[in-house]
Amino acid sequence: MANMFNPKRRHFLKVGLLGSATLTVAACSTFVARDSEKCHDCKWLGHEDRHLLNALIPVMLSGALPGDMHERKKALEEIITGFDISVSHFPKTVRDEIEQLLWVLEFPVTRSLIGGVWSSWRNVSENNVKELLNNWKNSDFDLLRIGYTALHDLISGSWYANPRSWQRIDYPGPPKIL
Amino acid sequence: MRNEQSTIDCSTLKQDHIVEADVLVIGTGAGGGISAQIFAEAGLNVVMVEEGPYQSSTDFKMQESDAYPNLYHEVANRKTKDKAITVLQGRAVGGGTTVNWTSCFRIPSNTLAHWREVYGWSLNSATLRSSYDYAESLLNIKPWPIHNPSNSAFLTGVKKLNWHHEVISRNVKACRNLGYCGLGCPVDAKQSTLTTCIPVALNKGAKLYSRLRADKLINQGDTIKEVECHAMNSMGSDTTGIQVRIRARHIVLAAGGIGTPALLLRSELPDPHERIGKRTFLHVTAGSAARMPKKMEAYYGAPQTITSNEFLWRDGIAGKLGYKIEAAPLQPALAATVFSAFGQEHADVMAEISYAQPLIALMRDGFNDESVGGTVKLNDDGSPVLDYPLNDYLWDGIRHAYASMMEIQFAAGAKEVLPSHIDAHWYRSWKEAKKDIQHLSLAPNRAKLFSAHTMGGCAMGSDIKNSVVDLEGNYHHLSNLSIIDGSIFPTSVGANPSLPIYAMATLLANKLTEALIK
Repeated sequence: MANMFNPKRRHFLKVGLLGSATLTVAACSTFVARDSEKCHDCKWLGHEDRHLLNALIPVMLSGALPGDMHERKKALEEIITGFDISVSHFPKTVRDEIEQLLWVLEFPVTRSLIGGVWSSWRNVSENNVKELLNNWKNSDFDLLRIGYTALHDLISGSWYANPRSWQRIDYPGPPKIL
Repeated sequence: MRNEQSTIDCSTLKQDHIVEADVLVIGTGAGGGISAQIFAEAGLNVVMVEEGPYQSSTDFKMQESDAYPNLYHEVANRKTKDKAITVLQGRAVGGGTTVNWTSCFRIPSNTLAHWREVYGWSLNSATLRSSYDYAESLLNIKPWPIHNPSNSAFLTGVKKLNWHHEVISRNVKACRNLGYCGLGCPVDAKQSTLTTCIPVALNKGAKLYSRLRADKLINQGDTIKEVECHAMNSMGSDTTGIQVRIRARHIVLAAGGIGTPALLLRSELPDPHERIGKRTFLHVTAGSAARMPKKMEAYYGAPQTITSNEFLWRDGIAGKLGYKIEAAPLQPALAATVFSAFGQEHADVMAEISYAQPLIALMRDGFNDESVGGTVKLNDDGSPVLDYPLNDYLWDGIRHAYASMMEIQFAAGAKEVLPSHIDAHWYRSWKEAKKDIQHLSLAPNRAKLFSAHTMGGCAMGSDIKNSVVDLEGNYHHLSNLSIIDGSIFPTSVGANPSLPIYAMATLLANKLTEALIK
């Protein structure tokens, strides 16, 4: 299981699975709707998305988040809010694509087979998430790299647009206008 | 200053409206803004329609978290169909000019020569002079020889290599060199259409409908009798259900290289040679970041003040793909998305962001038979998507450009250099970089590519078979429809297109005015 993306045969398997997963999404999304209940204070994200992002963000931004637990929790909340605001400003076609991406990661069958994550997002290990991100980033399969980039840009963009991230990177912020 | 009677934020409308005008201008960027001013000054009754919000310097806070969702298409993250190119495109009153980096160039003479030869254009530098004079004076376009550390390093590099370089002209007045042009100028130093043409047009009685998307041109015979528009919500994400129908003697499209063709395609107007939306160009852009020994703080100071055209015509006009090299501003959220690593590696790059010196190379697409650009298509809901396939011709130019940018950066004293590519790593020397770059796998969504310029898609030309509008900007197949924006360029420009659009708009809007007031 360590790396289902490298061996040729596995690669084939994965491509086939992603293809059928996408079809499944298209066919079932109206029936097996993603948890449509919005999370607290969210414009677009749902409850399940929050669990997913809570697992992804600390790994995507490992080394960049505050060490203090209280500060870290606040940062995580605000990154999710930034993610939510961005997606809610997208046109519907793009929101639908992000929804498909999150669905693939949340629906247990696709989460396991395409994401390589066999436990729920609430119990996943950081190593497992790291493996997922590495596999998607380096994948020969275009769709997975696109998925990685979407998550990467939404999460890192949300954090570094936030003044809380600036001290660590020595960015003084916009100049004062007198 | 703002005349509330003449500006309508359509996201707040509660009922449908019918509006009448002499001229309807759709889009308020470089093309639409200049045109609206010229029409209004001639005494014509003008209505402007803009999909984005009407914001001004007091709204611009130099924060990426505000600017990208509010002032750009798709949160500054618009993608081509295969997601390989990120298109930074303004969507606000003032269009791209509200958020551009203020770099102004005239159309290169090689480009004009190509348009004359292949597309039957008659313009040359001399016949365009009075239009340039008008636009350059209106927008205070002048050389800006004050270089921030990032542009200074770029200058050091190109001088050391003895490569072509020149100072960039900018459309600014009393500029404080803040460096946040891309997030909307907070001190009204930038002479955009937002701060120049549009206020003049409004004072002359024009009306501005913001947060309104032109959806369909409805024709009867050879005339457009009505334009169906839909109000957008305050986020700009969806329509509200409110309709505004606009009737005008003449319609001017100025919605840009993606918006204008998309509106025409939705309208299903006569297009016997199927030219609408074809050959849309982007100046496909690759980047490279250097880690310099000294602080660059590339987020401060005029973003682009030096350019190198050393490789712009490297193999003649129609040979191998040439490119223009410029510096870029580097605010942290944009930077964070450009660096494709995650975790500790990404955190380390970001920790040294103040030492980063970014260069970009803009591919001069459209001059070779193998460079046909993209095609604007419609999604099921009528929204546009640009299908821009990447081929070996483009990759050859991009690979060459990665090498040139890194060579400049090492010549400027870079400690390490990283090209914008998902597989790249920091190179410690020019020798290492030069060798490695030849083997870097160039494929969609491996190379990180960008665009800040949409051009073409409704080419202007004398031959009805390879163009959409005639040499005066009039739609070939209808009597009261013109296009005055960057979509009329038959190829990319080979330089940042704002001044070329200002100049062409000056020329075409004046001609159209003469015809309309006859």
